[in-house]
Amino acid sequence: MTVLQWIPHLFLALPMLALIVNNVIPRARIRTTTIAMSATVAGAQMLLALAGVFLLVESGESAVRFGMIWDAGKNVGYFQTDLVSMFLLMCVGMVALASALTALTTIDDHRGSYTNLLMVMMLGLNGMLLVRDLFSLYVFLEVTGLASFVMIGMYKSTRDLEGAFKYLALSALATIFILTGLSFLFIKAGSLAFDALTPALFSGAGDGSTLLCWAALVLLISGYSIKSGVAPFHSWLPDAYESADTAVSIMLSGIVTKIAGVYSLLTLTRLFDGIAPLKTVLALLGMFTILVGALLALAQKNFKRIAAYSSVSQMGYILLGFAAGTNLGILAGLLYLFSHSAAKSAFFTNAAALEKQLGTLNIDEMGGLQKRMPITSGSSVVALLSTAGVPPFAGFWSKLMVLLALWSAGLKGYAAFALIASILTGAYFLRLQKKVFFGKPNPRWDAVVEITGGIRVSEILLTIVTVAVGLVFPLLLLYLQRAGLI
Amino acid sequence: MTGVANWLNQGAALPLALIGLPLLGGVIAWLLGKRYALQVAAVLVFGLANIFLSLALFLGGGADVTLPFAGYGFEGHFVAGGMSSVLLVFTSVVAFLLARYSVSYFKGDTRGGVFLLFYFVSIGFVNGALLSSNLPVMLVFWEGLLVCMGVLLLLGNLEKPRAAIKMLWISGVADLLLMLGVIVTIRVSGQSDIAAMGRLPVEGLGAYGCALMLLGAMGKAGAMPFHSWIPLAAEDASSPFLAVFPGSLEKILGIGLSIQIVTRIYDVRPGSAMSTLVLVIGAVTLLFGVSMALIQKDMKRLLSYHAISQVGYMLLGVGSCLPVGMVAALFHMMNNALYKSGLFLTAGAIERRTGTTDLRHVGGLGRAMPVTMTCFVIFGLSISGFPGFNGFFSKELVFDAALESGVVYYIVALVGAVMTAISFLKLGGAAFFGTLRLPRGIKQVREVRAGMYLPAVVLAALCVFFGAGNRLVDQWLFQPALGLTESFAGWPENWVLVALSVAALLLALADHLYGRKKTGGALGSADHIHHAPGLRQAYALAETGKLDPYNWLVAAVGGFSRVCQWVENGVSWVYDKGVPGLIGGASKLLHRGVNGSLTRYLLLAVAGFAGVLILFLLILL
Amino acid sequence: MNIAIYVCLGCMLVFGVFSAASRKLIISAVALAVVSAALGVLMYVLGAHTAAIFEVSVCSGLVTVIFISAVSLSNGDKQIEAQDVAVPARKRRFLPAILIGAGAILMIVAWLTGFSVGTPAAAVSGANFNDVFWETCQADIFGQMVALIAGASAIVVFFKESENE
Repeated sequence: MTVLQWIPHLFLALPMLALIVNNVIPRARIRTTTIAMSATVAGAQMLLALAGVFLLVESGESAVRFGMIWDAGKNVGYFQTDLVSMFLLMCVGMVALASALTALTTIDDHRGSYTNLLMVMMLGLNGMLLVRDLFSLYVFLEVTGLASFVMIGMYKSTRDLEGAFKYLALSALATIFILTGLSFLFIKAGSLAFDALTPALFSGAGDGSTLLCWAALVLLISGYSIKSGVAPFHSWLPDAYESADTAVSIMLSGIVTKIAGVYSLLTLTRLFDGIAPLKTVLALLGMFTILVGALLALAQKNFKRIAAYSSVSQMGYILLGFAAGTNLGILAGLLYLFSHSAAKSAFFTNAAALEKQLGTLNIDEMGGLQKRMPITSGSSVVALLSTAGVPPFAGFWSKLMVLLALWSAGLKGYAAFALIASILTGAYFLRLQKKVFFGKPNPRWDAVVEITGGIRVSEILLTIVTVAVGLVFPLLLLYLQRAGLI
Repeated sequence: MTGVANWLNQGAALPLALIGLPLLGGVIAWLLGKRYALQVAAVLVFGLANIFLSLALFLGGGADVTLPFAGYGFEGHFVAGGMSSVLLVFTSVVAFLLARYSVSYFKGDTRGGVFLLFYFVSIGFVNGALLSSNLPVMLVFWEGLLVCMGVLLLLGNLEKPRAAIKMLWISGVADLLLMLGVIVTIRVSGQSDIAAMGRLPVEGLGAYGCALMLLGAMGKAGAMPFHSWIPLAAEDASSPFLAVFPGSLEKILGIGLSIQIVTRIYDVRPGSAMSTLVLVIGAVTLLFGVSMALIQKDMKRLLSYHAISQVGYMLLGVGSCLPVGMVAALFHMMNNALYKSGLFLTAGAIERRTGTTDLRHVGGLGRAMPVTMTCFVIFGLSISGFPGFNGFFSKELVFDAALESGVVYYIVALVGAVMTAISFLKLGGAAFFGTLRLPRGIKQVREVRAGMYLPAVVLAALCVFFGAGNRLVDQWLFQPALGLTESFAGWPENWVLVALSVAALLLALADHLYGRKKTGGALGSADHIHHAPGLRQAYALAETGKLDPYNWLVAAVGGFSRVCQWVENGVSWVYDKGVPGLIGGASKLLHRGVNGSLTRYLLLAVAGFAGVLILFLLILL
Repeated sequence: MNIAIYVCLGCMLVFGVFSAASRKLIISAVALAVVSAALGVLMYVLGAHTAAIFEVSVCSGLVTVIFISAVSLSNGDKQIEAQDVAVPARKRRFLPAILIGAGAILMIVAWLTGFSVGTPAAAVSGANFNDVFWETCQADIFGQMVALIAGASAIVVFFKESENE
C-alpha cells in the first residue's frame, strides 16, 4: 500500500481512536490534556490531507478508493477521496485545530465532552467527504448536525439551549426537505450512489417521475441551503453562533456550514452537471445571500453576530463560484472556502480573546484596543482585509478567481455585483474595526492585557496561513496548471 | 565648441550678452547686499556694460542670430533690427539711471538686494523680449517679466498681498490673451517668426489673432481694463518699483509690441475696426486715468493714475495706423519713460525723507528740497505739454494723429491735456509750494543724497534735450526704428492745434487758481471738479471699485466657484449621505425583521423553499 | 394495498402531532411508540420486511421502554407540567388542526391523482445478507456506528451533572 493509499484511512481512524482514548482512560488522568489531544488529531489531519493533496496530484489519479478496514474486493468503492475531498479534509483539520486551541482557554467545564463531540463532529465531516452515495452523505450530515446541536447547547444555559433548539428546528426542516428529495430521486434512479445519478434523470418523457426529480432538486437545494446558512434560510445562524461557546462557533462557521451545506450543493452541481436552472438558482441565491448578509451585518452591535452575518454573506461568494459551473469556478469556490475558513476562524478566535479579556462582546463598549491587544488587533485586521479582498492576502486571490470564473462563464452581471458588494463587506468590517480596535480608547479597558495561551497561538497561526497562502498563491496556481487542473 | 565659436562669429555674443549679463549683474548685486559701496559699483558696472553693449549693437548695424536651442521646433531667433536696437539703447540708459537711484534709495534696507536682483533679471528679460524675433520665445521672456514683478510685489507685502494677487491676475489674463493671440497668429501665418511673416490680413481668424495680441500688449502697458492693479501697487510697493515697472519697462514692451503688431505683423488699415478698437481703448484709458488722478491726495497714487492715462495717448497714436501716429506713439512712450520715472523718483525722494507721500500730511517741501523741486517742475511741465519740452512735441504729434482719425478723439485728448495740467498744478502746488508741512515725528528735512537726485537730474536733462533737440532725436532714433524716410519732427505745422493746446494750458491754470481760491490751498484745488454734480456720482462709483473690471472678474469667479462648490456638495452628498443612507436604511429595515422568533425563522425557510420552487418554474417554463 | 398505506400514513400523522402537542411526557412517549408501529406496518406493506422488523422492535419497543423508564426515574413529568406555555387555548388547537388538515388534503390529492411510488425492489431483493452488510453498505455501517456514538455523547453531555473539574 502506498502512502497515498493509507492516508485516507487515518481520516476515519484517528478521530475514532481519540474518541476511544478519551472515554476509556480515566478522567482524572487526561483531564488537562484531553483538548490537547483533539488538537493533535486535528493538526495531524491537516498535515496529512495537505500531503495527500500533493501526492494525489503527483500520482495523476483522480481518486483513491478504500474501505473501512480492508479495501474493496469488488469494484464497488464505498469510500473515496478525490482532490476536492482531500482539500476539504485539510480545511476541516485546520479549523478543528483552531477550535481546539481556542477551547484550551475558553472551555473550563465539560472538557471531556468537548473532545468527544469534536471527534464525533470530525468523524461526521470526514465521513461526508468520503462517501459515494447521497444517502450516506445524509447520514453523516445528520451526525454532524447532531454533534453541532449538542455542542451549541453544551453549557445548558437558557441562551445556549435556545440557540441549539433553533438550530435543531431548522435542521429538522432541512432533514424533511433532504429526505423527501432523496426519496424522489430514488424513485426514478433506483439507487442513490453517485455513479447512478446523472443529468439524464432529468430528461425523458414527461411522466411523473421526471417531475419528481425536478421537485427533488428543489427540495435538495432548499434543504442543503438551510444547512449552509444561505439566505433566506440563514436565520438560525446568528443565534446559534452567538450563543455557542466561541470554540464551537469556530467549528460551525469555519467548516460545518461549508461541508454540510455548500459541499453538498457542490456535489449536486457536479452530479447534475449541465442542468441550467440549478446553476442559475444557485447564482441567484448566492447574490441574495451576499446582499442580505452584508446589510444585516451593518446593523449589529455584537462582535460574534457581525461575524455570523459576515459568514452568511461570504457563503454567497462560495456559492457564486460553484454556480459558475466550470472547473475554474469549482476551484475558485474551494479556494474561497479555504480562505474564508482561515479568516473567519481567526476572527472568532479574536472574539474569544475579547470575551476572555474584556468580558463583553458589545462593540459599542469597546474602543482603542489596538494598543492593549496588538496581536488580536493585528490578526483581526488581517482577517478583515482578507475577507474584503485586499491584496496580498489569500482572500484577494480567491475573490479574484471567483470573479474571473463568473466572468469567463458568461455570468458577467453577477461578477459585477459581487465586486460591488465587496464594498459592503469592507463597510461593516471597517465599522467593526474602528469601534473595537481603533478609535478613542475606552478608559474602562486600561488594564486589559493581551491574550495568551492557545488562543494566541491560534490567532497567529491563522494569520500566518492567510498571509502565506496569499503570498504563494501564484505559485499554487502555477502548480495546479502544471498538474492540468486549471 | 565649434558650434559656440560659430555662434560668436555670427555675432551671437552681443544678443546673448545683453540677456545674460544683466542676469549675472542682478545676482552679484544681490549677493553684495550688505556692502553699499560695492553694490553701487556693481550697479554702475553692469548698467554701463548694458548701455555699451546695446550701443554697440545699434551702431554696429544690428545683428541677426539664430540659436537652435529652444526646442519644440522654435528657434531662438534674435534680431537686433531697427526698432529693437533703438529700444534697447533707450531702455539701457533709463535702466541704468533707475538702477543707480534704486541702490541709493535702498541704502541700509535689506530689501534692496532682492529688488536689484529682480530688477536686473527683468532687464535681462526685457532685452530678451526686445531681441526675440520668434514669438513663442518672446513670450517666454514676457512671462519672465511677469514673474519678477509678481515676486517683488509679493515681497513688498507678505501678510496681505492684495496688490500682488491683483497684478498677477490682471497681467496674467493679459498675457494669456497675448498667448492666445500668438497661437492664432502662428496658425494663420504658418510661421512663428516675425521676420518671416508678411503683413497678415485682418480678417477671419486673423482678426481674432490681431485683436487678442493687441489686447495682450495693451494690457501689459497698463491700458484699460488691465489697469486697476497699478494704483493698488502704488500703496504697497516702493517708488523704485513703480518707477521701473509701470513707469518704464512695461510701457516699453507693451507699446513696442503694439507698434510691431500694427505695422509688421498685421496689415491694419486706418479706419478699420481694429484701429477703432485701439483708438477707443486709448481714449477711454486717457480720460479715465486722468479723471481719477485728479482727485487723488496721495502722490504715488496720483502718479500711477497718470501712468495709466499716458498710455492712452500712446494708444491713440498706435490706433491711428498712420506714420505720424507711430512716431507719436514711440516718441510719447520714450518721453513718458523719462518723465514718469522721473516723477516717481521725486516721489521716492519725498518718501525717503518724510516717510510718506500722502499730501494731506506733507507738503511745501520746495525750500527744503530744491533739487527735487526743480526736477519735479521740469517733469511736470513736460507731462503737461508745455511748449518747448519733450511732452509738448510728442503730444502735438498725438493730437495730429488723433484728429486725422476722428474729431472726437482729438477732443478727448485735449480734455485730457487740460486735466493733466490741472492735476500737476495741484500736485506741485501742494507738494513743493506753499508752507512747509511735515508729518508727526519729522522735525526737518533736507535734500536727498546725490545718488538719488543725480539720476533725476539726468532724466530732467534728457527731457529738455528730447524737447529742444527733437529733430535730432527723430533722425537718430525714430526714423531708423520705424523705417521712415520723412520726418515729423520740429514745430507742428498746424498752428491751430498749437493754439488750442496753449489755450488748454491757460484754461487749466485758471481753473487751478479758481480752485485754489475756493479751498484755500493747492491740495483742494481740484475738489470742485470732484464734487461737481454728475461727476460726483461717477467718482463715487469709481472709488468704490464698481467700475473695476477686476472686481467684476472676481465676482464672476466667485460666482463660478460657488457653482463648483454646489456641484461638489452634491457629489459629496451622494457619497457621504446618499449611498450610505440608502444602505443603512435597507440594513435597518432588514434588521427589524429579525426578532428571534423561531416561527418566523421557519416561515422564512419555507418561504425560501417556495422561492426556489418559483425560480425553477420560471426557468423551466 | 393503497388503503393500508393511507391508513398507516394517517395514523402516523395524527399520533405524531398528538405526541408533539401533548403536555405530559408519558403520553408523548406512548404516542411516539404508536407512530413507530404505524411506520413499521407501512414498511412491511411496502415490502421492506427486514426493515419493518427492525423498526418495530427497536424504535417502537426498545426506545419507548427506555424513554418511559427514564421519565419515571426522573421527575420530568411534573416539570413539564409546571412550565406553562402562555399560549391561549384557542391558538394551541390551531396548529395541530392545520397540520392534520394539510396532511389529509395531501393524501386526498395523492389518492385522486393515482399517485404510486412503484416498487424499488430490483436492487435489493435476492441479495445475500452477508454481501449486503459487509460489501455494499460499508459506508452505511460506519455511518450507523458513528451516529450511535454521536447520540450517546449527546445524551451524556445533556444529562450529566456538571462535575467539579
